[in-house]
Parts: sequence; C-alpha cells; structure tokens
Amino acid sequence: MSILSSIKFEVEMTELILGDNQFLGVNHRSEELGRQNSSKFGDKSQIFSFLTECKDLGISSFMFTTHEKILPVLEDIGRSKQFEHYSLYPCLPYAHKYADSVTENGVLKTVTQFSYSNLFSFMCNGVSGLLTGNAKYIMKSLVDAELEKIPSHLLKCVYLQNLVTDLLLGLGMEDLLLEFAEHITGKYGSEVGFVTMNYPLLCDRLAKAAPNFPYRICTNINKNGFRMNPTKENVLSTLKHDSNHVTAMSIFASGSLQPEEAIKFISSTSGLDACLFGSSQIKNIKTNISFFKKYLS
Amino acid sequence: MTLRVSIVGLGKMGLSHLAIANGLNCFKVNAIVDKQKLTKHFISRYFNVYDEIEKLDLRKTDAVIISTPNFSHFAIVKYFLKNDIHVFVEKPLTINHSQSEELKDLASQKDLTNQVGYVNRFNPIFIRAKNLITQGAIGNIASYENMMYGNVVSSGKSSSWRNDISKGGGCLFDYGSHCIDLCVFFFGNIKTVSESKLGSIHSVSADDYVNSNFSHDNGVEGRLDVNWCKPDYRKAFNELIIKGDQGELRVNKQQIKVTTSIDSANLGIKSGTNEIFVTDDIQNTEFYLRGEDFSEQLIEFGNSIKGATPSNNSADFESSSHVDFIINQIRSRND
Repeated sequence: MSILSSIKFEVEMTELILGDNQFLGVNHRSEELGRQNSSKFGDKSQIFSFLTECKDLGISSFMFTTHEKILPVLEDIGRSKQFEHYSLYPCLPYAHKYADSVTENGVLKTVTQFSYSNLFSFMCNGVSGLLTGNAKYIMKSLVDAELEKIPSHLLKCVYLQNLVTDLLLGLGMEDLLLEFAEHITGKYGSEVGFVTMNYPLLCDRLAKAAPNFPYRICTNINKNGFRMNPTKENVLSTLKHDSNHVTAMSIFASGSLQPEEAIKFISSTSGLDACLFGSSQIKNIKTNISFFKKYLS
Repeated sequence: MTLRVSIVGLGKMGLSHLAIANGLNCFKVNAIVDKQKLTKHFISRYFNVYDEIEKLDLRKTDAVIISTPNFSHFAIVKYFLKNDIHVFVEKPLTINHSQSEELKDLASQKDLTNQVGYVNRFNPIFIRAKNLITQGAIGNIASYENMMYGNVVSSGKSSSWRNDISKGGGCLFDYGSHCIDLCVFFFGNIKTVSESKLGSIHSVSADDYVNSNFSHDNGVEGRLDVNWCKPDYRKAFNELIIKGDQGELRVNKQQIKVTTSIDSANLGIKSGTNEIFVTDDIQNTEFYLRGEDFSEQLIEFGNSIKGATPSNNSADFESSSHVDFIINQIRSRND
C-alpha cells in the first residue's frame, strides 16, 4: 500500500513512485554528480537494499528503464515475499543501448542483437516484420524481449519511454502508439502508459486517433516549468481537463528547486494522480515524504 | 507561411530531424529521400519516399534537411543549392575543405539560407558561457582545453560508414567537428594547428582519438582532446576548461562553474565560485524530442528562410568551412 493512500488524505494524488536515475548515474543537472551516484550502486544488492528501505518508508512502486543493471534486481524482487504487494512500472525501451547500436550496427543488426534471448518469438514476428517492412511486428518482438525478465505478477503498467513516444508523435505515427498499447493490454493484461515531453500535443493526437482509449501519462510537472513543452501554462491547463491517469516527473526541475517548494507546488496542482521522484540518499527520500504529508494534508 | 521541407537521408539523425520538423508548425514535410529498402517499407505509409534526390519535385520543395553519410554531403548540397533550395546539412559540411569553400560561395551567390547542424550552438549553457567569457567574467582569455569523450565504438567489428575514414567516418569528423566548431564559436577562427595526433583504439579503418593544439587569430591558445572509445561514459560528454587572467570557467552541456576575482551584477557573478545549471535557464520549445537545442536549430533554420535575421548562434557554411579547414590541417599534420 502506498504511503499516501494509507493515510487517506482528502487529495487527488494517491501514489508516490520511486525512479531509477540514481542507480544509473543519470543526473540532468550534473553529469559529474550522476557518475558519483552510479558508483554508489555498483551491485544489485545495493539497489535491492535501497528499494527495500524505500518500501519500508511506504513507497511501494518502482518505475525503471530496462537497463542491464536493473534487470537482475527485478528477479530478486519477483522472488521476495516482502515485495509481494509491490508495483513495477517498466519504461521501454532503454533508449541508449538501441541508439548506440543503431549508430554502430544499423537497424537490422540492432533488432537481431537485442532479441536474441527471445529467439523463437523473434523469428516468428521480427523476421516476417522485416521482410514485409511491417514496423508493428518488429515493435512487438522488441517489447516481448524487453519484458521477458520482469516478474509478470508485479507488472502494473508498462510505459513507453519519452524518446520513442515523442519520436512516433513527431512522425505522426499514432497508430504505432496504439498498437503498442493493444499489445501490452492484450498480452500482459497490464495498463499502458506514455512518457512524454509534449503532453498537450500527445493528448490532442491520441484523442483524435482513438477517443475514449484509456492510458496513463508520465510527464514533467514542476514549479519552474522545466521541460513543460510547449509552455508551463499549456501543460497545466491540459492537466486540469485530462481524465487519464497522470504521473508528474522532474518535480524538482532536475535539482534546481528546493524539495519543500517543489513538493508544495506539486501538492497544489490539480489533476495529478501520482508523483515520480528519486534520490541517492534515504534521508532525502524521508524528507520528501514528510513534505508530501505536510502539503497534501 | 508553412515551409515545404524534404528530408534527405533517414539514419539516426535523419529520423530525428524528420520527427522534429514534422512536429513544428513552420514546416510541412512533403517528401523523404532514402535508398534503404527497409526504410521505404517502414515510412512510405506516412510520407512520400524516393530513392534518388533527382526524383523530388523541386517545385514543391522550399528547403531540405540533409543527413546522409558525410562523404556524400558535397554532391547533394550542391545539387539543391544549384536548384535554389535552402539547405540545412548535418555536420561536417563536407570532408574536404575545398569542397566546403565551393558550397559556401555557391550559397552566398544564390543568397540561400545555409546552416550546418552544429547543435551545441543552441545549447543555453554554451551560449551563456560564451557571453560570460566575451564580457570579461574571467578577464582576458589565455588558454583553454576542449575535451569530448564517449562510448561510441567498443569493438572493431562495425561495418558502418562512421568507422570508415574514406566515407567521412572516424571521431575527428564526428566528435572532433563538434569540438572544433565550439572552439570557433567561443574564440573565433583558428590561425595555426600543431602537435596533432590521431589514432585508432578499436576501429580498423578510422580514428578513435584526436589531440591537437590550436592558436586562434586573437592569440588564445587551445588544446583539443577527443576520444570516443571510453566505456565509462554513458553518453557523449564535452567540457571546456577556459583560463583567463582573472579566473577559470568550466562548461559542459549542463553546467558552468566560474571561479573568478571579478564581481559583476550585470553578468550575475560574484567574486569566488559561481555555478550555473542548464535547469536555471528555462527554455521550453514548441516540440521536444531529444533536447531543446535540436528543436531550436530547426526553428532558426525556418525563421531564417522566412527572412528573420539569423541569431549569432547559427553555424553557416562560412564558419563550417573553416571547421573543415582545421580538420584537414589536423589530418595533414598528424605526426
């Protein structure tokens, strides 16, 4: 049970979700700090312990990219009794491994290289997809290969990473976004979500492509308007009228906001259902939770 | 006015440019040129796709965005300039300085908008750093180091053109051109190149690292250190350390650290150490894909075609031809 739903505040937001940037050395404010953090989580037991501590503090949801450093931890979580009520939110795909590989090997080799562990399904879907030039089959093969190692009983929602969501959005390929959604809900029975940096545009396009189609959104929402495109006002006004489940990310505007002012803003923003954040320090997680309790109450 | 743009070359950069241009209101993507059959199958349901530039209907094309392998830039850019089409081309402009000069002259003679994809010039932190050093935040500039590291090549097995020097591959044309352009953006043209060293770590037919010393027209001395075989870098990391007679400024895509004896309210710095982060300068953009800078450079291209005065940031063929001159110099002086 999440910290906030357990306290039953009279608020809309019900869930705090832990992100994985601190484990992977991602820091949008400083690459140097990012690298320092990454070395703190050198092996899977350190990541597992951190997730356990956060869970004991009430954060029972984890959103992550399918990075090779995270996947072994998920196997441990799947086997652990103490995580049996945990929620996993994979975010597909981990873009850098594909981007680097496309640069070095080309698209064809990339598809084969990253689907090797799911060879049979790849042969059936991927190869026929390549022969017919059907991107949908290729997409499904890659998705299945990515989800192979994630404990299915903890899978709550599968998100499409913002680089892919926004690439398809820019290309005008909303049909592929919908195809991804149908594959996830049909094969895995979980909800589907999109991470985006162009939230108002995505809502608009999906509403036109498939009215009443349910999906989750994860997008930047913060007091500074950092990466709230096209404008902060536009994002907040879309949020007010959006009936879909929306998770705020980058709530600290990549570290340029003090935690208290950031959380005060997020807590007073209407239309939000969940909030994603992370830190490499447990004491920061505790402080953030205390601010959520203060401002959501 | 919506500009009708065609995308030539649909590799990683071409796909990115296609999505951004198609997401911006000022452009309407009317066609794509790419030779790969897979690309044609994939994309032809959404766009008109041709396998040769000659098949494009030039009467329906105002501008092109070219992201083909480096060695092919010259012929393709020349074709479009000759046909009075505005050109945005990925960096480097060409792989041979004399070809770049020819394109520069042709673009100028035809009075067409010409821009090269040196995207760092649109990064708000690099722009802020340039303004700081130009306005004396660390006094008179004496020297700098420009480093760029990444993990692009991890084995010698690649068959991509990026790892074949004859096709314009190698880290000097790739990472190196970005760094040299940034040196020129910050300190002006380079007068002499010395102590250049290029070498291979994994690549069989291309360079994986480059070192070189520069002396600029204004007397600033610089050192270039580029290496794209560093496994501990998750993504490309580019940093300049600039030394002045009043302090030092460090800048990468995300942050500036200025240590100075100068106190200036105008510049927003105090005597001592100052840190400025990319998140401090909020710059949202109409359509975001992989960084505001990638969107802003295409918005600038569109605005320039429509007659707006280009900002000082844009890399035109003239400055990009100078970068190609320096690349040729480094290669010819490799001891």
